[in-house]
Amino acid sequence: MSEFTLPVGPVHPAFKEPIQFKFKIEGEKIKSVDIDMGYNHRGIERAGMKRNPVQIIYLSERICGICSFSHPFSFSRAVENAVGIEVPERAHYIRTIIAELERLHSHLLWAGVAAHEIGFDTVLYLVWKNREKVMDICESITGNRVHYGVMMIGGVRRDLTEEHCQKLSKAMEYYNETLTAIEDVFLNEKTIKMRTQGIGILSKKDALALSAVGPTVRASGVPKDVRVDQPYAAYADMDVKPIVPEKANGDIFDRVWCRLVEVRQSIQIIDFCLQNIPKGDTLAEKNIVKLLADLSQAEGEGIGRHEAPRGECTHYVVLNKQPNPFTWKARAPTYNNVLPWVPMFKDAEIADIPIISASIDPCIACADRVTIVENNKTKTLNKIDLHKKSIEKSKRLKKCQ
Amino acid sequence: MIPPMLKYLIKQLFTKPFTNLFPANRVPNDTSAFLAKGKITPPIPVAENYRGKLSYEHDKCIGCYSCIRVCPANVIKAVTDKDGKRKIKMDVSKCTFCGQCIDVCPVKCLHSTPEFLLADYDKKSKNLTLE
Amino acid sequence: MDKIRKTQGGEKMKGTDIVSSFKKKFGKKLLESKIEQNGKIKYDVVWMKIPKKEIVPAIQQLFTFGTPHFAVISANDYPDKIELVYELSVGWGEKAGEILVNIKTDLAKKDLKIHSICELIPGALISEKEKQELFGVKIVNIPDNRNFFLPQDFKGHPGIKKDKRVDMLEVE
Repeated sequence: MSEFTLPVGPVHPAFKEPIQFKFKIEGEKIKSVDIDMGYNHRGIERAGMKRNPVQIIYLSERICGICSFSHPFSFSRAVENAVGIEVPERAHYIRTIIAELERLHSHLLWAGVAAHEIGFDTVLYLVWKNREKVMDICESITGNRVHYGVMMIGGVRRDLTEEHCQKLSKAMEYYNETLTAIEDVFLNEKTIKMRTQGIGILSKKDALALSAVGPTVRASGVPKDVRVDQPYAAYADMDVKPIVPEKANGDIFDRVWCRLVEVRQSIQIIDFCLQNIPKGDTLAEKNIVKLLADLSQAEGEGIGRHEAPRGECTHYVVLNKQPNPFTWKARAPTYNNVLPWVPMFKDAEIADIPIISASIDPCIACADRVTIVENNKTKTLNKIDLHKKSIEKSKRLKKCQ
Repeated sequence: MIPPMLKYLIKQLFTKPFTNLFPANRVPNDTSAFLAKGKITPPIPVAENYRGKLSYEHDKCIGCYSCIRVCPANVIKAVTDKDGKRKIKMDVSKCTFCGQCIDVCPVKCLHSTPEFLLADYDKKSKNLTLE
Repeated sequence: MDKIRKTQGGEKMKGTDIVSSFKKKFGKKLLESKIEQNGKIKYDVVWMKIPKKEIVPAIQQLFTFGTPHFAVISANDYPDKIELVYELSVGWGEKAGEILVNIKTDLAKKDLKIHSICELIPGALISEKEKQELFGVKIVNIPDNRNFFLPQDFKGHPGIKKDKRVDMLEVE
């Protein structure tokens, strides 16, 4: 039986795209799960075939709203590796600063969403209020809160002035203080510990066999991080360590811990970049028309990777002396993180479905429609019913204490 | 044991709310009377580098069509005006406001303004076409 | 333990080690091989081409260097053949120690069949399903044959067809 929901449109930040799950349950426990995707397939790679590389940068930005800097970053690196363009040093540092700002705002957004799925809305508003400062800084540097439009093949389009650097330093001091409050709430509050410890476990063996990426795999004890394995941009000049918990159980609490410690690491990286940023050019080739003419005579293939907030983002480009590229393959990090959902859902309860599906930080996100097959009768619960069940479980657990 | 969230809740009782509310829930029938009544919360100023609606200087344009080659959304069309010169025509309803055409123009006849309130009933109205 | 395996002498792995071990195992069947160096701190990128019957032994040979990380399978659509590129990497876990390994195979359009690698790497299931439904490549012994991105009763393979390039300059 094939079921359909209409696609709900392009992907917005914190908007949930429909994925169809089919669970087989016994009582309240889940035995197995079946995943069906594709409701938001927009044919972006096909649209990219009709455009030249400069236009593809803006197209790739709009693959996602939250990780909207990772895709142009990986694409530019792929074209630069295919053709052999050298990026100036100052551009490397500016790219790193904006990538880390994006990681800050994405992890804070996820922290709020995870608290909302448990039913703890006060924490959602506390975290999202603190996130506004990052969005204002991004708007004053790049011109927009999401979809920055700052990346170009061979460098960046805008420069950082003295005023921007001072605003950034003040914002980093502000975040150092407010992060203590957020960490205090997430790691010490009893409600959050009750709902996240021991649930949604992904063992190390499964994580390696299924090739998971990002904080999902680092919380299971595997130290995979593109910034450490193949250092690029400004990460090559500093010592970045992958964030792996000492006793990694692979449950949701470890993933929360990983993301909060990564936010602290981002603040340190931005401080380092602001102190050591060199002077110089921001673009390898300032004349865009000449750049397009050079790229239409170039031949080669290249792979570009970047550590997005959700994991490793890879792009593959083949150029063959035409104005448009021959092949462009964009692989978002959530592509590899969908199969780990299957072992995570084993022996969990139905009320845990929202928090487990949100714990891998799906950029193409959570269940909009869940069909439960029980004794050969199907029952469909939508997002609001699942959310209510999750809140009721929190209240039940609090009463039993 | 006091839960950690309680401290921050009590602190929040004594701070000003973070939201900047609209002046009124619905558009008033008589705007000047509404403004005369008292002060309204000032709007948050637009950031200085903000990329809003574009502006086009018709006479400066030389018709090189570089902007058409770099536009990712097929917004710009090549036209000839009544004097027979090559000019462009833009459809703002499709524009993504990336600013690439501004960067590539050799005579700098395109600029970005801080205007962002662009809602309209007709896609082809005068407000949403630049020529 | 799934750590990287260092060569004798305790040095880090290099691209030349991988190419020479493949040359020893496959001999003439290794059709092409190339090593590039990218990045600020130079890292190796290995490109190799093998016939399609040898894809499962080739991935097995990679396991001798530690558990590889699987990224994606890409497809290049030529007029008479489809070229699949299996993108993997070995040597993760240590600073500046990872090597990208890309294995290419050719599939003639008259005979689009290849064996699945899901017994060795279960995480390749989604990529193989995508190639099966969008390009019409038949993957033999795939664990689950249903469509993933397209509806179950869809007929045809949309894939990536090469249309004529649409010109955007239309002068009125």
